[in-house]
Amino acid sequence: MSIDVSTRRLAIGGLTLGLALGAIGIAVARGGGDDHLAPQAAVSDMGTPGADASQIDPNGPGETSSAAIADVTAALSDAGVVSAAIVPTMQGAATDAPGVSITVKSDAGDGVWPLWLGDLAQGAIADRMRTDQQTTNQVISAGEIVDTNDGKPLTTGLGSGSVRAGQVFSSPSDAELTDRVNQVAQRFGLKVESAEVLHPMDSAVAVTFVVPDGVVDWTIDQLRAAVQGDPQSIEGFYLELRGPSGDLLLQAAGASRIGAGNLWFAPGQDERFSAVHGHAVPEPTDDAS
Amino acid sequence: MRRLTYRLLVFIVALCAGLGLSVGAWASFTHSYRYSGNTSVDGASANVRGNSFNPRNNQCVLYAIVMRDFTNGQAQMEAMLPRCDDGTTIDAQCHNGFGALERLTASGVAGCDQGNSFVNDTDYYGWIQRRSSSSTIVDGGILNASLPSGADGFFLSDTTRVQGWGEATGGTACPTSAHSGHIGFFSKYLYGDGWSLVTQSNKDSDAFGFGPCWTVEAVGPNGGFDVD
Repeated sequence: MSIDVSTRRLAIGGLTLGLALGAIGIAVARGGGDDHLAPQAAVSDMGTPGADASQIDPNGPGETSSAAIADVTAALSDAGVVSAAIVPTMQGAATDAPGVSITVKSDAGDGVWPLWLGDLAQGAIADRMRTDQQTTNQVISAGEIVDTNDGKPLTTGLGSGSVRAGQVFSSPSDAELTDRVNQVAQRFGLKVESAEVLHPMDSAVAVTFVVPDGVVDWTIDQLRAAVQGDPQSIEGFYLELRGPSGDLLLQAAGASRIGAGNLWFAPGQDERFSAVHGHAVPEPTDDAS
Repeated sequence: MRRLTYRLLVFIVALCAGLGLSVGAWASFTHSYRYSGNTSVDGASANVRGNSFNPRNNQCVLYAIVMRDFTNGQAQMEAMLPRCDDGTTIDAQCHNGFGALERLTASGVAGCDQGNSFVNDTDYYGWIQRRSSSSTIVDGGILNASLPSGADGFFLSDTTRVQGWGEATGGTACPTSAHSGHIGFFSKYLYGDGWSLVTQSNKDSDAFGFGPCWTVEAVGPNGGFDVD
């Protein structure tokens, strides 16, 4: 069988193009050896950042980093924030903005309380430094807490969500927020053991509730929403649930300025309060592919 | 006779309480997933897509990639696309319809950072990677959010695998109707070798309370697979 010249050229051209495209495909699929980004196809949609507040301030106060840190550490010092410092770069962060290292005296290591304080401080420092950035992680890319941890300092990274900067929370007075907490306790059949209002920038609430034994007919998200108000009027919450004998059942905390949450629960209490979270899995069995 | 009735009543109450505690010790969730044959990985990445979710009450349904340390406690990092029942959040802060990173620390805290919004039927790039060849910290990113792992975990000698899955967490049954997703370009990272597609993987499911809810399909030519 004979093949004419033009057909042969077409075949060679097609083969060459195919090899080139194949090589590109393999290169894309394998990625660079030490490249940060792995093999990926085109991703056309990057979404938009969310917000918990109904109002967004188009421009921030533009404080210097030292002023923002001074304001926030002073506001949260009674809760346990000792100091904070800007870190030029944060490895693994989503933006090139600087980070912040926050020293916390809680002796709880990487527990929910010191993580929450760090999240609150990071968000408030970012929004105080902000001028017109769209998200707080464009001002402060990520953070870390250094907890005193009973004489054995422990550093834990905080990262950052991608949420709207300049969220404005209406922040009712401390008395109104305390009254709200008491009303919520009555509605949910709880006792308030302690309630504290913090002011990282607007207001945040930390409450310890005592829960009677037995089945509850509400979820931790319903309790959270009731404490936050509708529309949400506080920038952060820390909810601690204890049993009648004082045993710790569950801790849930959130910081809206950086979109960060933390959850701890005693065995079975996540189910009891319908606290939704990801799950660690047992080592998989070797089923056939 | 009255004493016998009383003892029977006490026994029944105690039995019910014990049963309740036993059942309550298991949170309701299910995963169906593919996992790397390699047990010493340093990172994972994929284009994650959620085609349909349909969570039940108090439930989130999500598609995700995961890097898990099977040696040290609960250490795990997950980059996910979650959709949740109205008002239900992951870790009390990450909301329905926004990408999220979640870490489980060795001390038992589940923490999340919320990323940008996502839409169905669209690929979103998620990655997880050990910070350096000698680091025990793993970083993760998706939809402009970032989160490092906790202080403990991901030790160099630990067994680590990458996984890609569909998950329903919370609720009492599988999603109400269609639920399917795709893990595209499912990849692993090894210091020294760089990124490569996961060519040797197995599939498995876990079910606590309900499920499994998904079938894990075969791997395609670009390393992707469906969960449907």
